[in-house]
Amino acid sequence: MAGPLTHYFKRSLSTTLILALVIAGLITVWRISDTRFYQVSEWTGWSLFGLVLLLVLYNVRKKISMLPVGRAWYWRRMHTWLGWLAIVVFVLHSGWQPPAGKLNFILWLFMLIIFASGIFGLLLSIALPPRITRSEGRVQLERIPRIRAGLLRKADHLIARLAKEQGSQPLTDFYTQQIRHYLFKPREFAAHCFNSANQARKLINSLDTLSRYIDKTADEKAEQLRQLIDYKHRLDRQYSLQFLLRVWTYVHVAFSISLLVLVVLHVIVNYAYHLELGF
Amino acid sequence: MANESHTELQDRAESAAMLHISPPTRWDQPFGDKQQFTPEMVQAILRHEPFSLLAAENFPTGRNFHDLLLNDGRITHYQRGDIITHVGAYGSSCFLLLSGELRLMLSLPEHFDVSDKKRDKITSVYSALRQLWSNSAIAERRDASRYGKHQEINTREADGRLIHMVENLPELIEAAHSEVVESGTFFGEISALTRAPRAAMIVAESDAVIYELRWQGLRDLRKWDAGFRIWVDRLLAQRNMLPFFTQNKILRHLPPEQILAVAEHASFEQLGDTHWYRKSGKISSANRVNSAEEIIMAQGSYLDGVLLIRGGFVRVMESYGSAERTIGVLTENQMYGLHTVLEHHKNPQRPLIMAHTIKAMGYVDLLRIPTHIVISHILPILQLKGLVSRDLLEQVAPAFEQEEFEHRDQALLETLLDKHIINGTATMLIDMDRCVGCDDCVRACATAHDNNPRFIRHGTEYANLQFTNACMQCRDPVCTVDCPTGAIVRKEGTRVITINDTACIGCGNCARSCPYDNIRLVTVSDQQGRLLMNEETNQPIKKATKCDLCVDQLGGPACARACPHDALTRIDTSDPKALRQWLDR
Repeated sequence: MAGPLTHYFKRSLSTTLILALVIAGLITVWRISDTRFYQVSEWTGWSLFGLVLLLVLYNVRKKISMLPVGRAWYWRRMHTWLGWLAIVVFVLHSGWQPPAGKLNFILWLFMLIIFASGIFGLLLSIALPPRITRSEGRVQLERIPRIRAGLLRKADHLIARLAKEQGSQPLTDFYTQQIRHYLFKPREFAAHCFNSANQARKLINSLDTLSRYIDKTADEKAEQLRQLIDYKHRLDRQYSLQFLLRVWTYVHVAFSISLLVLVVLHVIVNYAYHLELGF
Repeated sequence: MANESHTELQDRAESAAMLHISPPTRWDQPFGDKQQFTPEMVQAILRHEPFSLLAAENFPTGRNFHDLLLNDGRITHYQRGDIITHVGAYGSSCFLLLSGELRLMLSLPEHFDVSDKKRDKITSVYSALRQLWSNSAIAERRDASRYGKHQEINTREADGRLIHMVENLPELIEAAHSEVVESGTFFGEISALTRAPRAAMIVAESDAVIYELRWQGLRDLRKWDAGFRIWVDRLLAQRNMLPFFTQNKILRHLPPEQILAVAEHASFEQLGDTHWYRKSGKISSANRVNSAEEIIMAQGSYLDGVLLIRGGFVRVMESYGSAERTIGVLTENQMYGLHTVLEHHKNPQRPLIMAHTIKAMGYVDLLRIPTHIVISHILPILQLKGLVSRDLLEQVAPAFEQEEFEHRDQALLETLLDKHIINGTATMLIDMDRCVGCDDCVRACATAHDNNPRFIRHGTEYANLQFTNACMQCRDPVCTVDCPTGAIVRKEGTRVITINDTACIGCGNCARSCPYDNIRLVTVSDQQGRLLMNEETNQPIKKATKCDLCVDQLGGPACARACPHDALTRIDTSDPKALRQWLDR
């Protein structure tokens, strides 16, 4: 994981320096404003609102792929750096403490979730693709359920042909009780993300032990089952990593859209309060 | 031991396990119908140039040019309005007009043009945006009224072949800029010899009889008969040499009279197999192009001429260990040998010896300029104009020096060559170490094509690179060779291969020919979602589809622009510098 991340930050060194300078300038302005009793929360608030709108534009760019408005790669980079800037402005605007009032608190919480999911997504998008590539048997996420169903069918077919033979009883029992359950759906999601899944190894070890109780025909089928289990293990790893790589965007985008509505409410409520309209 | 084996073979031959058949020969399946094309007809052909120049004594024993003309040629009786060649189509034969008159269409009115003019127009900003809400939910939706009765071009079957015909010839002649082709004219040699697309549409103005000679026959006649070769090459030089030289970044600086002088001495050569793709089958991760590569010149041999590559690919190799390793590749408009000749010219002590072995990859079409002509006609002018700069030389005539080679990824180079991926001018390359599988590329492609994605995010892989199943817009577009209607053509002035949906008859020749599996046949529906069926066969109508590099979209290929991780590019895989630059980005 360190390799791709180091490479990423090395490539982004110049942009990081520029961003650091902008942030330093921003903090300086903030301190000056604060000591001179300017409306700090007002200008940081509007800056944050502007940044949120700019950040949302990235999603608009994705929808208008048919227009020559610059490569999505540049937009994404801009989205990332503006995101870092938004975190700083957010801290300047709200301070380090959770705000008072339900609406403000929800807004604050949503902001944190969006920032956290964004940083999490950024790290995943750098670190996971090389892991997926280096894991054997890369397939598209959408194809995985079909392939998994095919594996199960194949295993069922193997066992169905053995079912009536006396010497294969231990294998058919073990298949029905454990292997079929393993092949049926994705297993060990979290363990695969941390590269510590071991259910397949356990099943294969159990099959090895089972070999002494079954006849030669069943043993041949057991070998084929070992291969199917091994393939399922690789498929589950692909599923976990690719699913993780995709699912964070749903959280990030869903909260971002909700945030837009809350921000508008927040602006209305605050100005209404200041204008003493009775809220 | 040998005798025993022979006896065993005899025994087996006598048993019922073996069946004796005559060995297959070159002309088991002649080009034309032998019943219709008789030896007497050959005499009529021999009355016209360049065939009248053929002399039996020039051919070796056992080779007879009458047989060659008879088996590698065919006679076709065209009717008024029949189309002999389509503009942009790839032909592999030349023609001799025996009787009748033809029209060479130098320009075509829009409604007659087989190329899809509608697609040539770049979408406006509004119509690009409109795709957001006007794209169809129906897969492969088509306007059915464009098919069939409204076409200006119709078809008829003659001599077992499908011949296209213009419905209203007088109107076409009036609307187009055209020239008359008279009886006795020899034409089509540029496409036959150089695998270039046909430059113009030719239509029969009256009933006409045409002799058509396929490229294999033309190749052999040129090989054995010097008189014939000189005549054809001179014609080729007159018609094609000047445009060809102007495409070469070094030779374009020669004055026209010097080009003609060079052309007098240069010889055209075709090596390898123009149908290499038929032998290879589909190229997958496990399958490489399986065609023998013909040696053009071997390492250590005398460099008798500078080679200009006109088409195809040349593999450059050097001795390494007990075999040879590839150190580079040359493609059209590049040269081999100029570097050595220059060094020899500067220092005559340096020998004119081949530093590498060069081979034809699949098929190569080249021009060989004798070394002494390069020294006497080309070098003085280039030096006079100060054009032999190192950068230009490296670009047009690379020297393949050792220090440059040290930085190359040998396995990647071999993969590109083995799988012929080098053919792609806009290969879709995905860096899997960056791809997060978001499918933004596929969605962008679908948006640009009425919700029908034109590629599959899947393909041959090498390390972290995926050569995705998207049309590569090949330098040698073999998909176009067998198209009976000229529906799949290279868009003029570009590298893009486009399919005219209206002219496509769904025969599937292009999809079968594509060794990379990048063309798909799809069933089509009308605006209401009804499946379009052939009324005669009651089978669904099919159309060939593939990536068109968003030729009618603003800003070029949507897939590359849509990738948020800079993981996808469209790249000329024969350009090692561009490839290296992208890989090191």
